Amino acid sequence: MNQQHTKSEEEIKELVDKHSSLIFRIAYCILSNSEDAQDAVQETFLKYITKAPEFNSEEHRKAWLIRVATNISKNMLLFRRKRETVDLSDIENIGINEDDFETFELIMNLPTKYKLVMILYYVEGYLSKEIAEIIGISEDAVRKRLQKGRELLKKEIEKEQSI
Amino acid sequence: MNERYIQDYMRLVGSISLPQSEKDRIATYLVEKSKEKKELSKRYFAAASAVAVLAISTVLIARGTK
Repeated sequence: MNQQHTKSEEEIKELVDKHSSLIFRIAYCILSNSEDAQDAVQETFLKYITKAPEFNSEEHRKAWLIRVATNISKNMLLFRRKRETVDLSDIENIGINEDDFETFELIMNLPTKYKLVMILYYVEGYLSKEIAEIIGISEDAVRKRLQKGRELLKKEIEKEQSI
Repeated sequence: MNERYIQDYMRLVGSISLPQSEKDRIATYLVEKSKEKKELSKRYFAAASAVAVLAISTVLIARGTK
């Protein structure tokens, strides 16, 4: 059931303040571009104020926002002509230090399906079971993606360090 | 390379945050959209009420002319 009441100005501001950076991180990791990620954040909240169901907990609301942001970002990717790579001039606007660019680039270059579960697990602190529910895959698939993601990142880091 | 090392690398992603100016812009946009939605609901309700009144009046008039 959709939420029947319209959100007040205060509710909207509080919601954006509380969850926008989380949604932005997810969107950025999929889109690798801050402008597109900002559009995805806006679309996610717009969907929230028009179509969100009623939530029984804050965690439920957060999981819904992550799911919707992931879908919106993946859809935006489909309409792109070429694959975007992280830009040095773009990262300073999003809180990443220039000195960390190479490391950040290694993470961002991982395939989206591995990167997404790794971010939810290592950065947002979700358990494999919770990630499975949020992105709609089995717990076993989450564990496999985590394993593969770790292996890929390890390989890239070692390659970088040997140069 | 252990789990802890991977965790340290991944923490870097946790530093990504949306600039405050962008948060404010999105909040303002959503407040506007929310007001539009409220206004649209009011108009829809007013239009639906007018249609209902018109339908009832038509029925009553039709009965009265019989």
